[in-house]
Amino acid sequence: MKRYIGLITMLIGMFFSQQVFASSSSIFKSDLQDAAEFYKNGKYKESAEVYQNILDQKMENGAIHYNLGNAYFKNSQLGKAILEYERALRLMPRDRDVLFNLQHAESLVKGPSVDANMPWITVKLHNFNFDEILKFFLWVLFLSGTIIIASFFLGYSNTTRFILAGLSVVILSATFCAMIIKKNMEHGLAITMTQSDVKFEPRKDATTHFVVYEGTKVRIKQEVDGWHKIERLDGKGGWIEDFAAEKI
Amino acid sequence: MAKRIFLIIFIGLLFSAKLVWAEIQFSAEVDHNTIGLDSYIQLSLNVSGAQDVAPLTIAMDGFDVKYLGPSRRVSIVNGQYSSSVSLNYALYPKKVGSFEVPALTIEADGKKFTSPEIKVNVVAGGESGTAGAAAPIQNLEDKLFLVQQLEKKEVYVGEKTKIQLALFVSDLQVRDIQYPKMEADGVEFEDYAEPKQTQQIVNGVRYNVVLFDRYFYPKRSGDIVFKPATAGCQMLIAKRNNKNVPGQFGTMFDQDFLNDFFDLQEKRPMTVTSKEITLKVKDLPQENKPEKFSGGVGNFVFDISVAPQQVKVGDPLTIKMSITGEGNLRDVKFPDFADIADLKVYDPIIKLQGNAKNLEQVLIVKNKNFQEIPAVKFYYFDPTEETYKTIVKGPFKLSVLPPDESEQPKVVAYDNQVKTIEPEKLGEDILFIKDQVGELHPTGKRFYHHWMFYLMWLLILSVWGGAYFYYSLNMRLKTDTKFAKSLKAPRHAKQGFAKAAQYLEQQKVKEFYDVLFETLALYMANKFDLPVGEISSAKLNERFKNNESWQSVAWDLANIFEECDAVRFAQANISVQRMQESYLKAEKIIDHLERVWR
Repeated sequence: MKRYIGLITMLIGMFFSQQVFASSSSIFKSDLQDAAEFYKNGKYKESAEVYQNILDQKMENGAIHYNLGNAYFKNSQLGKAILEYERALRLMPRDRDVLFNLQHAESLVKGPSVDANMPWITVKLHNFNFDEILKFFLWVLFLSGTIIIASFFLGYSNTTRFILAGLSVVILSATFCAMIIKKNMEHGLAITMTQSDVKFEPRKDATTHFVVYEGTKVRIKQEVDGWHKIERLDGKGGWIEDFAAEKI
Repeated sequence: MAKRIFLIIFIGLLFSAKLVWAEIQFSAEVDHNTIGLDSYIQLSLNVSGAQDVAPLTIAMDGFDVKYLGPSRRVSIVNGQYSSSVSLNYALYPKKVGSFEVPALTIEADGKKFTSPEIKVNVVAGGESGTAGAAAPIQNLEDKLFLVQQLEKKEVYVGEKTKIQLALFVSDLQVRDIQYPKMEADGVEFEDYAEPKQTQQIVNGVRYNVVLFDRYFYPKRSGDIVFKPATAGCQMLIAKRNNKNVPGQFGTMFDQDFLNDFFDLQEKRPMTVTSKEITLKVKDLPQENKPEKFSGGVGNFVFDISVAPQQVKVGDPLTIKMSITGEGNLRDVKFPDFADIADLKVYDPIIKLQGNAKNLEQVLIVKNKNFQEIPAVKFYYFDPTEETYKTIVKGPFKLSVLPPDESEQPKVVAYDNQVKTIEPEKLGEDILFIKDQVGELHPTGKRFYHHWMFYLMWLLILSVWGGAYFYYSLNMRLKTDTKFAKSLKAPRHAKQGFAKAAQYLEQQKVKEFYDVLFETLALYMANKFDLPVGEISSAKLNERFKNNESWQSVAWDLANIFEECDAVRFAQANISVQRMQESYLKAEKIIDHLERVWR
């Protein structure tokens, strides 16, 4: 029996660790070395190309996005740099290097300082990515299920069982809501790649409402025939051509 | 009592009267055929022989028509009852000339009645027609009108500009003049200035003029249309006595010659409308436009003061700035100090008072090496000269002292020496790339996309299910004795058969049959929840006589029990082969019962 328990524990541990998706980076080893070497020698454009090539082969991690963001930044491509830092942040939400570089890059974005008035929960959820919140949800589900079943063997009273079940439901509901909020927070976010006029209508000759500068974070609300309906974080909105912004 | 008697007499008279309803008659009459522009005609539509008549809507050239209301008359003459209704209208003349009250038609009791046309004359001045000047005014619009005019026809965006509305009045008495209502898109209006009164002669006619001045700021370029403005007022006209009928008492009583002494006048509400005008608005020139243009358009004076001139690091410094003059002060921005790193800048307090805009702001000097506030430049656009202008004030010398020793940061060293920390100058750049990239994984692959995710949950749910099943089984074993004994029966039988097999091998006949009987009896007792002492072939047959599956084992069980009794109590000799057969039969019985008797 103890043998089975050990096996199950090990499998669960593996399951919840990052090892599930681990894949050897050895096949990209030489590419990664080349990209780093280019960067160290100040050849930022070449470095960015190599990192981008790795990402084009549908493999990624936070560090690659971070390094690519650095290469773009040094190559004076502020919009792309911020985009890659944001992508890195989705995979490594509490990485200090990414946060520092992103903050520095955002400080160089032109135009008025646009601050979104974010609620407390949204600020806190920035510290976690979706996978982490989902894992927490599943851990709570597993533990609460196990504790409630254990309470039968340990002879707990029905009152104790109800309290345990109630607590579990509250924590699970809160975590589930956090997952939904996080999904909505990430939905449609994009970074502008160039300075663009935001129009009132999806036409080139429409009146300009305001200007977004390279590296501005916006939310894409609608996509229509080569145009994106966007909303800046302060709530101002309008239409820009689709090539002007790239989704995170 | 007296009231009651009077009421009874009145009702008696009413019923004694010959209730004769006269035929319906309809007529129209005016109180004057000739009036001046400052008077009005009362038109009465008299309907006799009808109770209720709806008022007519009358449109008439040269007049404004106003319905005054009905008047009713009931009379009993020589016992004959009659009633009539008069619908009264006021006809206010708008211009001089001969006009006609048109034929009017009413409907009563399903019939139509039409009045004849009535000719009326409107003369300039008073009713006599002699009050007019050398060039008598023919229309009311010429006696009372509103004109809107702009100070300039072409201005810059944001330039302070005046619009003037002039109400012209001649040969009329006008009261309760209201501020005109004006409307224009792309314009921000100030409040009206106090109205002024003056006199002007237009085309030889003297007018009293009320002037309304109002400043505004165009907010966009292009043509701005000022829609027709309207002003309300009350015109005084001679009061009419409704009871007077022209001709009854002669014209002397119709002439209200006492009106001026006793204020016997009425107010006629009037709305005066101006014409539409257009203003051309130009954009500010882009050429030589300063980067820090304040947005001010006009002629301004800028001043600034700094106090105190001697401060310690960390102490507050007060800046006061003022902008005065004519222009769009509301939109003017003050110069700021955000670019100066050695100053901590607090939010300013800005007040607008008349033609002055004042700012008061607190600054804190952060560095003792900061010795002056650089020159402050205020840029604005002068529309008169059509150029951008700059007013420069300063620089302002400061004497900045280090903070008190007790306020300075200290480093306490091991040797107790106190050292101050110089502010560290930090460069700004991004951090270096990560050398250790770590493991890669497929792009966009979330961990819930992996097959292990589902396998693990299957496993976890199985463990939960198994645990619950185990718990339920345990609970039943504890609470259901019959079920527990039934579950134990085959296990005990297996142990008994193992023991019997040993005795069979050792050919210990008595012990073998003892164990065999004990095993079968215990099995039956557990299986059927009976006391062990009561187990016998006869009792079991009696209990299960109607059970078909029992019948197939009953004979064999009876034989085994007989053999057991024969050996155990009569010391009978039994061969080994017989023992083996009994053993197999016993196994077969239990096997059969386990299969069919669940």
